[in-house]
Amino acid sequence: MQRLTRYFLVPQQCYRFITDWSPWLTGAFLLTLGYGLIAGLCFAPADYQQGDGFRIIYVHVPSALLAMGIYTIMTTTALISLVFRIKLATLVMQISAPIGASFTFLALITGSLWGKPMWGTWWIWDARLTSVLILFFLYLAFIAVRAAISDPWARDRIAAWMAIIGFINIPIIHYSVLWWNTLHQGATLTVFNPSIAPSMLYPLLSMIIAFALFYLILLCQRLCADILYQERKAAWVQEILHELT
Amino acid sequence: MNLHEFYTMGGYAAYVWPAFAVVLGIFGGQWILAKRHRRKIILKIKEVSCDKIIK
Amino acid sequence: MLKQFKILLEHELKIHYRHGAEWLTPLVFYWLVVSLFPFALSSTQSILRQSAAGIIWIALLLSLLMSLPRLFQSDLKDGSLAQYCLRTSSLMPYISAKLLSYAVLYIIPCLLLTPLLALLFYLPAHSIFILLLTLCLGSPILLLIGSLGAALTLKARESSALLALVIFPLYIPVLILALNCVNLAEQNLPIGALLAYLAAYCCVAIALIPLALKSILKIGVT
Repeated sequence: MQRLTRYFLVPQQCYRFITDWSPWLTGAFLLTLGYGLIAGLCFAPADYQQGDGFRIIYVHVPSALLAMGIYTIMTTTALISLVFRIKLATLVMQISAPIGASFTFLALITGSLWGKPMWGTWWIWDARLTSVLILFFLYLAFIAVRAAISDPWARDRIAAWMAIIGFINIPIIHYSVLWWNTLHQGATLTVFNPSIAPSMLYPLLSMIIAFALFYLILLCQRLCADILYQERKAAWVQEILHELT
Repeated sequence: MNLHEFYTMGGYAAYVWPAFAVVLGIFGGQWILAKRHRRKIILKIKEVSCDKIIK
Repeated sequence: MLKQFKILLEHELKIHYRHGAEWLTPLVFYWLVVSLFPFALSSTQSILRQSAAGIIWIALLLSLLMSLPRLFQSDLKDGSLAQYCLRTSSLMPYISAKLLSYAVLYIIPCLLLTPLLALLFYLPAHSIFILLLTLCLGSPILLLIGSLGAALTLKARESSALLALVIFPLYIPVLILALNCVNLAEQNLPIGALLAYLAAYCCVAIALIPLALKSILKIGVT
């Protein structure tokens, strides 16, 4: 436990930890992505209802999961940065926002690409779709507010509050939209079969892991750079810079 | 599964391939942005330390 | 505390009184936005009656957006907000006086105008009553969430566009609840449960949002 906290509280240790582990992360990412893509596109059998169109699931579900997961991570780090004032948590929060927004964007785009052949329209005002759209707006609002405040101290605090307020509102919005939607048009098409064959499931799990790893890789990349900038006056950073050139 | 079936995706090619392309495109874009961010910051730090030496 | 609140409220109202007809601008804006819709949609009676409630709610949101950025801005500029924050006693009297005076000046006139506007859209009396009821329950939530947004964007540049981005996603549940209430009432279906939800949301907002507002305002000042 003590070693763990040291890794995350001492910038130098944190930097070393990340650089030591990032080749492994990249390797695991390429492995899972490769397996997921090949098995998902070539070997998984076509769905008996949706034919080959169902293969969009291999990019849609992971990005939707990550879109929500990253917002949860942002809120957790926002709470940590407000309560314990740990600089690293603030960095993770601010780095996660654009990555999460791009995953949400991907979920929306792949979702409508999936919806067109299956439902016949690019978009329906289904509860899930609408909630993801609003999640996207929440991400954009977070990024926009952060960009518009120049004082760094206030910016981090305000951003943390925005993440928390958004997180509290996500379930409220989701249930109200769900309720609104059922009132208007009854049950929508159920896309997911309750049971899914293993040959379809394993590529999906692999893709989910690959997406999560990609988030971690991006996070680590940016975290490293930001730690270097924060500690730019420290001796160890100068040493690293000499090594790099 | 032959190659032709793979390309056409059972008639869903117009939806499946763009979906995967968008994902890979955004992944690549994020990767490049992260790399560029890192390069920019290292240059910035170097400028600061050079200034110090000159003074 | 109550005495402080009274003094502050009087002070706020006095300031607005001296500014003259400033309170009229959002009201006229509200009226104008509502009366633009018949041109955009159609002047057919059935179409207007169907969309009246939605139009009135959206216009109210927009007129709030007009006036909300000013909520804490002048106090921040002349430094009085910093003074209130520095004082050891609670910030609550200030916040409640501010919100109450805002409601009196900007929201209540809009609510009073609403029955007239609803008549322009051929709404029957029963629907107007339900619409007003939802507005009365919903506008405190709008105001509280809006003030939260105003506090969050207090230090931001070009805050009014940003304010829309921050608060409109949070307004969606209120819109859904209120407008479905009106729709159900028009079909003579029971609306008690929906009104109860709206009232519950209102109570939770009144209880919790000022607490968050206090912390956020303190960040904005330091």
